[in-house]
Amino acid sequence: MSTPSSSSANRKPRSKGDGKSLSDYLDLIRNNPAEFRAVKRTVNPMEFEVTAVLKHLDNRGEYPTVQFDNPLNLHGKPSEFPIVSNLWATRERCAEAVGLPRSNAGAELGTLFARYVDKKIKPTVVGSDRAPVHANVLQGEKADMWLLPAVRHFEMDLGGVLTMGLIAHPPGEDFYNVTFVKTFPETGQRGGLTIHSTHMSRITRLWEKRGERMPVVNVLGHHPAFWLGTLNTTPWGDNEYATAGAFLQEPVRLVPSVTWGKDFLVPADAEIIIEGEVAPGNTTIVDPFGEISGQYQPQQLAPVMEVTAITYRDGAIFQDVFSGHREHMLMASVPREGTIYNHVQQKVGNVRAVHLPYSGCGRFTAYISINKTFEGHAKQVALQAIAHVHNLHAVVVVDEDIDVFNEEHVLWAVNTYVDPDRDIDLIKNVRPPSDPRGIGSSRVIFDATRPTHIPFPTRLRVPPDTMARVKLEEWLEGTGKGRP
Amino acid sequence: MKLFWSTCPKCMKPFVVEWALRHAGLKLICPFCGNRYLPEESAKIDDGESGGRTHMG
Repeated sequence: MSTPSSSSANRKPRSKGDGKSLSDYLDLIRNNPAEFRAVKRTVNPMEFEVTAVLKHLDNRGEYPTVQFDNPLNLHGKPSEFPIVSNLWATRERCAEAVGLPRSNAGAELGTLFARYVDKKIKPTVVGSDRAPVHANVLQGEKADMWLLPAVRHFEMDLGGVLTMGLIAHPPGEDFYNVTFVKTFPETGQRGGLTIHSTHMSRITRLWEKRGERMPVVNVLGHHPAFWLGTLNTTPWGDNEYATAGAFLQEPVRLVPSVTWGKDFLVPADAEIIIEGEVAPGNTTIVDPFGEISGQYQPQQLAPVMEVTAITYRDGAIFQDVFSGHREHMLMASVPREGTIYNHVQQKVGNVRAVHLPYSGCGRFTAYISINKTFEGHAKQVALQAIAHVHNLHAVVVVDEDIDVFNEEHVLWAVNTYVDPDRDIDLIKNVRPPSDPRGIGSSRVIFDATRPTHIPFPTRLRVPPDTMARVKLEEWLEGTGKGRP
Repeated sequence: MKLFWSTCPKCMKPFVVEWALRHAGLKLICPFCGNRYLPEESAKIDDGESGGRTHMG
């Protein structure tokens, strides 16, 4: 057991586990400055110095993962843990994390998620001696969340926030749900939790209904494939540890928790774990917090997690999400592209590609291309997508010759093929099925496929055989050194 | 989610609050100056005609 009080100079060397970890992935990109940058100087995350670096890079159109080697913790002292942020900020890194070539970061990435989500690899259970995350165990007053370098992201954020995943299971059940949740460390031992997901909200209500304390685990760092697996929309009852295993391409190694033993299994190869309990009816004030929509979450009441233990591996890395930016958008948009593809393909068919663009925050808008076989096909596709993914607000359906990853092409189809009176449908009074807080109640569908039931102009093109015959590099003078 | 704007009586800056806190008897926390105060102590409250709405991640 140790107490974190040192900076990078005297950190323990990182422990090597048997399972994939965050560090294994970072080693793949560490030597590529386009993908990984380090900040060696001392940074104060509570003074926005972490997000200032990330925002400058974002403004320049650069999206590397950034490691801050010497952050301060919430006590204002050097943290034992470096911060890693912006991990998922490009589709190429998301592809690489799940074993795809970087060149397959478009539609192939979404369809890989569609294939893997039902694959499932059963987790394995190991003892504490084989669990790197149990190398250091803090309990009682020593289990202090303020030892962590929590990041205050935006100027109106109420404080430092832990942005990673929360794990819980329903009472009496042995399947686990993993959801990204914001934790607001009000003190070292208690913090509010903002829970937005359907299944985690349901689990919270089930424990509250029984009047029992809900055990929860906050995981602050794991291999990116673990997280990308858990971000899929899966049916109630699915064990998300098994879903994550499919994406990791190996079983998730679990270890009995310090607080509840075998009654709550936690990821053995995680970086840092906070174990805690939510007492029924215990709430606190949280927010504002800069959210996915690029706006602040309103101040609200949230359940309180009371910390029971903090465990971490030697050389642990504290992972953070740059909220409201590309990383935040991609980490859920890519899995949802797979979810929508799977569902709509099963229900309607002839789906070619699905994209949730940055302009819709990776959440609220879907572009779907289809091989249209009948008038009304596009609307059936859109309705299925809206019914299956609760926070989609707008769905644009295009023909398969439109690249859904090229927004200019999609908007060309909207501007060229859509008769607003006939092809735009507003669906009113739609609310998420089980989250009473809601995200707006209307949806809109654009059928931007080329009309086939009326005479309609043909899209222009240069003959494909001529395009194939004329090789630009052979016909243009100058070979890139200057144009004639 | 229905919302209201509360203006902090200390720093006079406004921020958005979920409607459930409007009459909950709990103190709001100003994100600008950290002042804690009851909603009815707001320098100004604006709930619009039917309340605002917001997105969530």
